[in-house]
Amino acid sequence: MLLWLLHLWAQPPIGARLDCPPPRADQAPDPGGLYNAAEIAARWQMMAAVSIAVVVALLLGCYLLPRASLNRAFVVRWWAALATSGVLCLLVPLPVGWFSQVHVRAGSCSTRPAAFLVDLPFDLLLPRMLAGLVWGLLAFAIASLLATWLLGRWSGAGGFFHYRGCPWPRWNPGQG
Amino acid sequence: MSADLLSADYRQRTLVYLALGGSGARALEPLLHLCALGLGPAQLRVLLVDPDQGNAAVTRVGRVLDQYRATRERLADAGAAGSFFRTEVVDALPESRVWSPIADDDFMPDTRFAAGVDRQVMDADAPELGLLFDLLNARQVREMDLAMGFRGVPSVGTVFMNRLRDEAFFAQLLSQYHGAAGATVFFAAGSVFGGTGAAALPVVGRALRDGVQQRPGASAIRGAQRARIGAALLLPYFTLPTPGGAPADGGPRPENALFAHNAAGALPSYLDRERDPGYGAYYLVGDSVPREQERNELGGEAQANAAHYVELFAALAALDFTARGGEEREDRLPIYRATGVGSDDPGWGDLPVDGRTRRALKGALVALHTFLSFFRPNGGSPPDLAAALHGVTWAGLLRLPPAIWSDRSDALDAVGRSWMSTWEWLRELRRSTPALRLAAATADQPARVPTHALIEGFGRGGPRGRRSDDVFSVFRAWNTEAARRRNGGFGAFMEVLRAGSERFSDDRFPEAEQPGQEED
Repeated sequence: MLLWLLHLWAQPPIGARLDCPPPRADQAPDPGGLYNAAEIAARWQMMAAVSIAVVVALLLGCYLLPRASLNRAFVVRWWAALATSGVLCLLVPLPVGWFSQVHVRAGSCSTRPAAFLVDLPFDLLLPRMLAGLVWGLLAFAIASLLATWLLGRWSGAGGFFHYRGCPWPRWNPGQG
Repeated sequence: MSADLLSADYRQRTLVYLALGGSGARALEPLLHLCALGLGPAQLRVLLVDPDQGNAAVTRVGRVLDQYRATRERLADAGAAGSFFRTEVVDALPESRVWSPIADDDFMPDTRFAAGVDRQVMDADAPELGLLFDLLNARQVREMDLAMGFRGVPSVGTVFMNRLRDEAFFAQLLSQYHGAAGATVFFAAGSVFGGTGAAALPVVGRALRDGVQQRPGASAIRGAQRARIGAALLLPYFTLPTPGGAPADGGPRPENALFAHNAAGALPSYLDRERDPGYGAYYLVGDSVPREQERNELGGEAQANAAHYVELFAALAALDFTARGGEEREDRLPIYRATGVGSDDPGWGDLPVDGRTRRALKGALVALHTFLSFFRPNGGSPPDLAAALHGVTWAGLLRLPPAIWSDRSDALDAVGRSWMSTWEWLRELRRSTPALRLAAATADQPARVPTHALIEGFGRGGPRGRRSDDVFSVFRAWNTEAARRRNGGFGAFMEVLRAGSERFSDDRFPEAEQPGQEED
């Protein structure tokens, strides 16, 4: 359940296969090795953590920086923050995947039994990126709703108080 | 003089305001605007004294008076008359707001001065008296049409002013005063350099002190305490342009050259305890460089001229006297009060009110501006408030249903109209020479003036001062204020409109900071 909340349909591909190194002349080819499951799970957790941090930062910036209440500029800012949240959560898997390699499970490649390092391929990251886009949009909207509803009860909660309750019509710039 | 217009005692008191002549009536307009901004006492009883019932000052203040009362009535119907427009304004006269000292002669076709004093009858019954009358009054004065006012000849007006003592409403005013156990004060305002005001000021004060003598069928009524009777003496604060022609009746017309002379001649009578005009306090109000008015017409609507800050100071004098509850020491009366204006164009620093009242006035101006920018833009037709305010925090906290904005549209319309007339008055003062620099009411449409530039002479330095604010920034202060309240409904909305706007004003236009001072 938690994994589904964090990654939607793109949960950690623990069983994904990788192309093993080409065999030596005297070896038979290996149809495919396995990634280190713990490291894959850790990378996906990192993606989730960064995505959460992105959404929280955007939420705080969106609600705490403005000095007004219910104005059109906030509506525009809210929509911009929503879009930014989606885009950033879409992009989060790329640097995580490209800049932190994972080990192959030891012995899963007969052509190279040691736990060597490999990059995460783009086709493995793509589903997480798409899920990140949807997750980012949903997370910002839901967090926005919850924060204004819960924190908004307290007058010291800054913008969460001044934009409390259901964000409508602040979801609609035309009604700003 | 530093009036506290927020004390609990002041807010329970009644001010009987006697507007004597055109200048007295003109000082009533700022008084009503201050009441509309929530700075008035509990009750204001108004008596306009003028023989020229159709003059522009009376007509103009009559409009403001009607607008104020209509607004207050609608707010009272909505259970929201405890904040702005809290002062109940009533006419001292039951059937008319203006008392004319020559009203008894209204049925007479001849309204000349000589006819008013029965000059022809004198020839038969007392020829010596007739001769004396002719010697004291030039032909031009004897023939003047009194329906156009006393035209800078106070000696003519004084002849008729004593009729006030015989009026039933005058006796009633004194009865109400005695019944109110010290909560009522009388305040008269008029010019000492013109006709009607200069004629009425000494008579009115004396009549209030003397009370009403016993008459057949009516018992005597004691006069008011001297300490409870105050007056604003308006010194020459304007001049008149050269008139287009002679008056139709060949009578006199007010002359600039005589204004200072008249004032200098009149003032000793207020300083002389022997002659005792009856007042316990005098507020002398004037301007060292009188402004030339736009028009020089005799009586009627054509006499209309723009508002002047001296009239606001006269109104503040009336409120200061009310706030004091009159004077304290009978043995030291009369008291003379004065205030100074520090520059050619007076501003907040010159306003004779204390810091608390100044804060309240700044807040009220923010409320007025916010109301005329959002709820009734420029006093005009309303936007779809239910949609525009859907989900706003203060509306939720005050439990205001969306339908309230249409249900209470009468009250909102009335407030919009009244405050628009306050804005126009502020604009006149702002554009006048000298200009009164309180609010940046430079545009005819309030919505065109940005909120952060509204209050002149106050502001924040540093980055905060450079940020722009709009009505939604004011809403933020309303949210905080609404969260502190337990009550809801339209009455609470008007309270939040006042207190929340004051909260915003305290933050944006703080007393401690002046423009140019940088924040640390």
